[in-house]
Amino acid sequence: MKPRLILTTVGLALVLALGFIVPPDHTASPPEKLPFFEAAFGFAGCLLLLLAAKFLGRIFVQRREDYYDE
Amino acid sequence: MSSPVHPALIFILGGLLLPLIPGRRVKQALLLCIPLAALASLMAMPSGTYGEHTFLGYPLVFARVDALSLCFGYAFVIVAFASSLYALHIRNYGQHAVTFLTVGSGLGIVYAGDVFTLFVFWELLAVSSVFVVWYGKSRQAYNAGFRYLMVHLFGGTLLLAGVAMHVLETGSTEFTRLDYGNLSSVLMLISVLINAAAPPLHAWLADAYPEASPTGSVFLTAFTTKSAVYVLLRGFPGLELLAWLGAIMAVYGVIYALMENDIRRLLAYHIISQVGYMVCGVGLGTDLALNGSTAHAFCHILYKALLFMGAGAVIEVTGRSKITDLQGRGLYRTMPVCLTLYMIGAFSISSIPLFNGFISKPMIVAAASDPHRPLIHLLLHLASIGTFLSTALKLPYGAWFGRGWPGEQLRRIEAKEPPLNMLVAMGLLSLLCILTGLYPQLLYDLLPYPLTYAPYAAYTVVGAIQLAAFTALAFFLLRNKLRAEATISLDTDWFYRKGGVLFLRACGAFSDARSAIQSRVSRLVARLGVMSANPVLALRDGLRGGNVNPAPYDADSHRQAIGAGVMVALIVFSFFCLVFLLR
Repeated sequence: MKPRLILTTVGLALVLALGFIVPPDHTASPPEKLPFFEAAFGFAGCLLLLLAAKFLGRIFVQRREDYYDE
Repeated sequence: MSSPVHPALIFILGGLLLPLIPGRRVKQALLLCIPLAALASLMAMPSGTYGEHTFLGYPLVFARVDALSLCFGYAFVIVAFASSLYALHIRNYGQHAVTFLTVGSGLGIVYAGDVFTLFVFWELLAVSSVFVVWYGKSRQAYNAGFRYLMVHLFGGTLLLAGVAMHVLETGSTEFTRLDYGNLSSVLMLISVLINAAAPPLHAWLADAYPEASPTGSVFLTAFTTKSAVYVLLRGFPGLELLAWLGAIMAVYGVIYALMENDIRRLLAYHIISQVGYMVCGVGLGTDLALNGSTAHAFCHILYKALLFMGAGAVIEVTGRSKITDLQGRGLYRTMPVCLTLYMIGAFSISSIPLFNGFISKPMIVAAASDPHRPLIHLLLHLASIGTFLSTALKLPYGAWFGRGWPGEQLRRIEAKEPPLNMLVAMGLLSLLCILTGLYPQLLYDLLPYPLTYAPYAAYTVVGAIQLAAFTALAFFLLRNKLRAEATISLDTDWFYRKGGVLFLRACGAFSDARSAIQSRVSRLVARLGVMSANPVLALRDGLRGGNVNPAPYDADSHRQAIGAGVMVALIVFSFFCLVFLLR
């Protein structure tokens, strides 16, 4: 478990570092020019979608599998 | 020079003849040769119009070939070849025949040069697709097929009404850009949006596609929605409404996919999401956006068929289609090749660099930022996170890896790799996904509008890697929250599935009320009949206990004594006397 954890951390750090090396798109909006924008957006977006899906599923969308059979 | 044969005709005739030809090997050879022949005829038809006829005084154009229709035509024929190869071991030739009808009608739509031809192939596509669903041969497939038929016949009727009004208004049958605003164009647009599976008219897709057989559903993924995208590209480019609708579709699909447990239904929601990108591109209407939609349709046809093949292979081998029935069974050990090929499709749909989604989807996202529409841009961007999350992480993690619920006793599944032809078909599509990803110019040369777009800009590549890496990180931190649950999701089909039951119940109540009224009325009529036949007798029987149908006439008991008649005459006479005297 340990080596895998270290490897993952190093990998993620490298991916973040790439954002600092590469010059940003000059047409992009100011937040998108941040070197770690996509990383933060990916992480936050994942949480947001998960919350939205869980919320909708709980309030009315997800039903028992035999819902339509009765 | 002899004119080339319409590729749609090759598929339709080939499909109809296929079951009649003897010999299994010959049939299998034909299954592969028919798409190849269509590809050859496609290449032999350079831009122009073919097959012009006159019908009821209106010109029909069976084949109008230009860059836009060619792009869709190539994608359709390629995927038809790969899907036939995937289904090669299936001995049910009726199913092969209807899948070829589906392919033929899809090609007919993208080549149709006039609105009548378009309508005919539109209906043929709906009907042939229903049979593909029914070849799923289960109770669910049968019911879902009927719902599919109802929705699409409704859409087809709208299209026919729109076409008829359009021809009356403009006097032209040519299928070209339609002016949005009058009733005819609205009717046609609604019909096309039904086939494009735009919410709230989308529920038929996730309802029916997963019920077809594993090989049949691969065919379904390509033709209905993408031919609708083609019609939108041709008829409604730059319609603002579509940009918003597409962006909403893209997010709607991924949120529903996150709640889904059935692997093919999860992928079906991703069709809705990906078609959302294309619809949005049509709505944005710039050259870049329209090229992006066309390119994305091309790439999507390839990788979505590949994904459905991967999911179909799992179902074919294990007989299970739910993540909750598959997780923790260690399929990655028994089906590693299938998993690898599926992942190529998953990386393509998630637009990971070097795979084909990366060269098409970012075009549409870039087009959304170009005329500066921040909200649409944001929604499209958010949807790409969801795409990666469910197709590349949740589904493979659940189906091939994963763990059971704590305390759950897991039985091993006897699984092995699917038949060789299935793997070769998946390999072929994987190869094409990577090839177009590596050499985007192959596809860009086919696109209809001028294009200056460099997909492999450094910041785009790094952005895509960052997005994927941190989405994956979030997934692994939250993987227990993201587990599939043994539920189904209510969608807009609820209205007609539950509404249909309610309607039937209401009909039953009406029918009960009608028969109650009818029986009362007929009792009344019977009583009146008795009354008029013999009022005295009826009154007497009525007073005694309301016997409506008295016993047959009996002279001794029923005949009145003579005095009764004299009595009545005397009473009447006295009455008249009284009236006369007192007047």
